Amino acid sequence: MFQGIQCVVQGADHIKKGMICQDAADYKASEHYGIAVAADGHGSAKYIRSDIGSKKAVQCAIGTVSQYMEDYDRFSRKIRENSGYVLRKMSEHFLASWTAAIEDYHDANPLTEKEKEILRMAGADESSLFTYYGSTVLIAVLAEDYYYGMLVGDGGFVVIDEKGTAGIPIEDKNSRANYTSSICSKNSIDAVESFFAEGKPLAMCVSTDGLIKSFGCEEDFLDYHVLLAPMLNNVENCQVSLLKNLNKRTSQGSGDDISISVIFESGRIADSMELLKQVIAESRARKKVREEQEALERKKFQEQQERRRQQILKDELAEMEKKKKHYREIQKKIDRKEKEAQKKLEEAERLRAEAQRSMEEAQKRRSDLDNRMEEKSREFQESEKRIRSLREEVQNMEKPVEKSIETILKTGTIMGAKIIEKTQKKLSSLLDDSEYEEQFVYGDAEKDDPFFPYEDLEEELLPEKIPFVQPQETVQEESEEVPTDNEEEVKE
Amino acid sequence: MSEMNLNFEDVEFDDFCEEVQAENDDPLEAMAPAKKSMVLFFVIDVSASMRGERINTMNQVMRDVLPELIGVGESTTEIKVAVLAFGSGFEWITPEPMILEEYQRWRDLEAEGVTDLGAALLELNQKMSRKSFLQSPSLSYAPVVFLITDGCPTDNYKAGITALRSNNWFKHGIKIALALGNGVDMDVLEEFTGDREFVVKANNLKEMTALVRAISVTSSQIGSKSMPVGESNGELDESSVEGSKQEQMREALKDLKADIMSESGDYSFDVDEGW
Repeated sequence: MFQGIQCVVQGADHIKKGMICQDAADYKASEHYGIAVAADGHGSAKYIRSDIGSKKAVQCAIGTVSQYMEDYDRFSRKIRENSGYVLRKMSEHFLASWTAAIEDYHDANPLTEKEKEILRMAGADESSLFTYYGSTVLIAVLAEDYYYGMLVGDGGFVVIDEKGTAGIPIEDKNSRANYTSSICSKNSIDAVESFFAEGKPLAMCVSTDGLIKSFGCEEDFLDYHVLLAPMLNNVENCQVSLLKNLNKRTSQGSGDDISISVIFESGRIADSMELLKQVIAESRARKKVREEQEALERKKFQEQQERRRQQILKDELAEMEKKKKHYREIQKKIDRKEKEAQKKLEEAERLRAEAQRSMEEAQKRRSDLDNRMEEKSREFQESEKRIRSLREEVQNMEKPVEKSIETILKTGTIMGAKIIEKTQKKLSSLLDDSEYEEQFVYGDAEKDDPFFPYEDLEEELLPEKIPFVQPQETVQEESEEVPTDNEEEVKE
Repeated sequence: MSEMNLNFEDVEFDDFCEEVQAENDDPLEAMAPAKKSMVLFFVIDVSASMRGERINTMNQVMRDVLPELIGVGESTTEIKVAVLAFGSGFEWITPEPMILEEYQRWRDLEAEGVTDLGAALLELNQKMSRKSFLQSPSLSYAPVVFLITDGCPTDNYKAGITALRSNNWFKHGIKIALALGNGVDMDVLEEFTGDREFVVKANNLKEMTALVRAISVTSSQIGSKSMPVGESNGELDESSVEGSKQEQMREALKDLKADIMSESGDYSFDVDEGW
């Protein structure tokens, strides 16, 4: 006997935003098969009646499958013969029944003014009737010795096989992030994913995307179903547990509506309890290993990053060492230059001191010279004074000198006439005397002197008549000395 | 996993039962919920032209911004950070999107080489996938991709941009580019973001610091925000690719530009002055 369980919880974000729950889920358990269906009505404003759309999808799915499987043996034979064709036909019938159901509902419940206003605000086209009811759908069918499924749009489709292993046989290829295929699209038949398989799985679960999005990885999502499997042995407890857990998953995880529907054979779950416990233990061990591996990978990455960082630091350190060495060399050069500069400075200091000393000496000398010059200047002034007085004396003496010269010239003229006369007389006598000629030739100094015969004239005229002025020599000597001193001073 | 050597003898189910007993007798309580999350991708140019003041400033601002990003989103939201550096080739500085609390020690980037933007964008496209960096089911929001560069691509950047444009995560994400100085080909950045208004230019180091910080924080806030009724354009509506978040980011960028440029004071000064 087949059994089922379903649970639908309103999304935490939907509650926050005042949105209604747009998910729907149901199951049908019959003698030969069980059907589990979950549908997720789209969340945007233009899908204004998607909650109805999802409910209709669940109803139509169960209705279509039930209709097809009414003659169980015939259906089983047909689907084994050509599962692709049968599944395609079933899908078409399901979509047709859904559109018919939507049309019927819409005719019976035309849009209210409030709904029209919301649609206008959302910029939706009022003629696109099916869009208002847009939804995904996931249909799982578990028969006695085979199973199959179909889906349009995102969500989770999980099969727990005879070994207790969870797997995902189909998923929407178009779904990414918040975008998904929909049964309201014109080409929705092309978005249908389906599968058929022989075998007797322990359970088949379909859930809306709110559930899978509350897991960090697909493995956790599958492990969740493995955990759920043994709980199916007590449907009442499982129902309570699921409701509580799904509420937690939406509030702490996806925030979206979550619905799940599970179909299974009750007796087989009870028979497989030990196996399931073992599988759970294995999956826990695997998870532990996986987590350890991930932690190891993270650690490895962090270590690798740390190594890279350290390498960068090492390189920087080496570069800094290089620079340090370079700077040390520069420092040495600077030190050397500094020493040299110090020496030069000291030398300069010494020279400066010497210069200072020389300057002081020079100043002293200058001062001495100034003193001397002052003294000389005084002397010079005195000399000048004396010169001036001497000049005056000379001027005073000029007249008597001129008189003396005049007298001399007069005397000279008289003497000259007398000498010429005497000489002429003497020459006449000599011309006749050859002895005179000989004396003249061998050079008697006294006889050479032309004035020699004037001795008696000197005695006669000079001593009284020509006054000789001695002071003239003194004047000349004084005036020569003064310029000599002046010259020396200038040189210094 | 198959290569792991598990020793299940160590893990007794009774022990497990005792553990779950402590968790209110509810096995489901053993599995803690994960917060909603969003990845902020930093794509940073570390080519030779970034040497000196630019890379030093970049390192400093990243050291500052990492702690600032903690708690930026709503209380039930977690921001993760992935850093891709590109120069001659590329290097993921983070091995995967890192939870901010666990990634606070920034390793300084060094600048050298050419500007292989194309190679970096191809790599970004590869990692921006459910099979790679974006495998966590808790990723409830499209990522924010923040490109920071000071030069022109030296490789075939168009191949990278073409690949990214067909990536649904990138398509729906918030893309922002920050040009440092005048040497940047703004048309390339416009091709990257798909919109000139999402290209911002920093004229000097002061603006660079302010813009990197402000854009990181603001884009994370907007990117990780649950959209209220009436703002979200919702599922598979291709016309909403730019979406309400893009609009909010556009407005935020206008405000940021105005604020930061007015702080700088003069629009007419030499744009390369101060680098």
